[in-house]
Amino acid sequence: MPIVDAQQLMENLDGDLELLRDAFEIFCEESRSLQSELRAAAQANNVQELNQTAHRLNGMLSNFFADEACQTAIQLEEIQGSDVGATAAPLIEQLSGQIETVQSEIQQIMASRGS
Amino acid sequence: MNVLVAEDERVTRHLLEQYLDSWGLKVTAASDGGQAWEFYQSGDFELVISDWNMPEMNGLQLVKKIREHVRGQYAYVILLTARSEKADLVNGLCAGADDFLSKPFDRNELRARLRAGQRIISLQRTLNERNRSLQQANERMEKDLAAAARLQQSLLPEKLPESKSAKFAWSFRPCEELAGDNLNVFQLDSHHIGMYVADVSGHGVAAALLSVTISQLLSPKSSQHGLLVQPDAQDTSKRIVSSPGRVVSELNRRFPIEEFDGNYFTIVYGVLDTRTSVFRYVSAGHPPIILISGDGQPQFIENTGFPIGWVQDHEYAERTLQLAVGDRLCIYSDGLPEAQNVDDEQFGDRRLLESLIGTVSQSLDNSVAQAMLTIESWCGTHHARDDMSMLAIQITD
Repeated sequence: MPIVDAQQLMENLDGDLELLRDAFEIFCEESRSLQSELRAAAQANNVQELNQTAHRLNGMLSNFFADEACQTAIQLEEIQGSDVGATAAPLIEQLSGQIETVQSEIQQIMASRGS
Repeated sequence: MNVLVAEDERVTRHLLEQYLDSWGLKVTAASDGGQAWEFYQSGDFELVISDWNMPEMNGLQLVKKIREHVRGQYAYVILLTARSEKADLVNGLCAGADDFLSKPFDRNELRARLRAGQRIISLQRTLNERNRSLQQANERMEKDLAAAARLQQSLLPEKLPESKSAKFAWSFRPCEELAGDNLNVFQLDSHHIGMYVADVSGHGVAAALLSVTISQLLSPKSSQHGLLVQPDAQDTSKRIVSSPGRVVSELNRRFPIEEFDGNYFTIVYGVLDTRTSVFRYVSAGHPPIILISGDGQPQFIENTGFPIGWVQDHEYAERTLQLAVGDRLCIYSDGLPEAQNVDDEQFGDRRLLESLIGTVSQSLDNSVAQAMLTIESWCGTHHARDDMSMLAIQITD
């Protein structure tokens, strides 16, 4: 079952593959650095930074209609407590895997539509 | 139209920029709330699309700052948010947001909401332009009114006639910038002094224009028109003073009510012969004249005819008063007795008479001034609804 809702994504972009490619490039760059920031925040037990970074990832993923990945990001966004590192670690790994899948699915969408 | 986008997340920001650009809007994008606020202050943005959660300054704080920032053009603000709880929406609206859009936003919904915003901005712009025009028109009108009021003031007695037989005093209080009342006292020849108090119906510009016309017509400087003085039939090189009956009848002929949009006026026009202290006058619908004799006995003398303009070819009966030394005559407009206090009670003729009798031992100037002060004190905070004019004469020799 794909994570990205390809039909909704292309409808929302009005079929604009060039726009998709631009957004995808930004997504690849940003998601890498945001994931690093996420891990660093978890290691430092910095809950505020963790929530904030997860929120940005959620916003970014929502543009690609990747609901499953968004749900994981929301869980990270809502984590509270003093020892967030341990709780966040498996979720961060889960989210990283989902982001990889999202990237791969978007590449397929672009390839299948001639970009 | 200039649009400011405030969004810290790059993909959303890029998509917003591209959409807005493709719809012909001029976009400036900020990567956080602080930067957006800087851009906003230095730009001319009518539309702001802002994320809620941002570093430096969040969307809610940005909206509050925008609303506190006073400038001519209204900025329509749409908050982008993943939040959908009622409390958040209420907070956003209370802070000054105009609309919300949930993330991930639908392109068509964004466009529809932008159009709604543009409609409001356009209405606001029209309203601002109309307000500006109204303000300019109002400023012009205020200037014109001030100039007209100065002109009216210039028509009041500049210099009172000097006579050893009589003294004069007057007071004039318009209730608005322009008055419907007017008065004057002037030398007609070596031993005749003319005077009048007139009160045009209604207020405002129309009443004031008619009032100014009457002033001009009854000005001794306009006597070449033959209204106040006329050539002697026996010796055309000489001029004789027109009788008050002739003057008032002529006014009645010139100002029929139907030709002046229903405006009419009341007037007392009189001529004092300083050799004999005989006062001949006509009162056309005007309040009674008060005569206080030298020994303090008061008398109300009722009017003698209809207001000017009411009845065509009306014959105005002329009255003659033989005045004696110490007598005081007071001619006034109905604004004095009809002045109301905060309980809407009128000052009335009785209080006016009491005030004049109470100050009979004082100078004529003081007596008139005191009567006006008493009326003003009676009105208190109640704004006068009518002009107040008073002209007084005292026989001194």
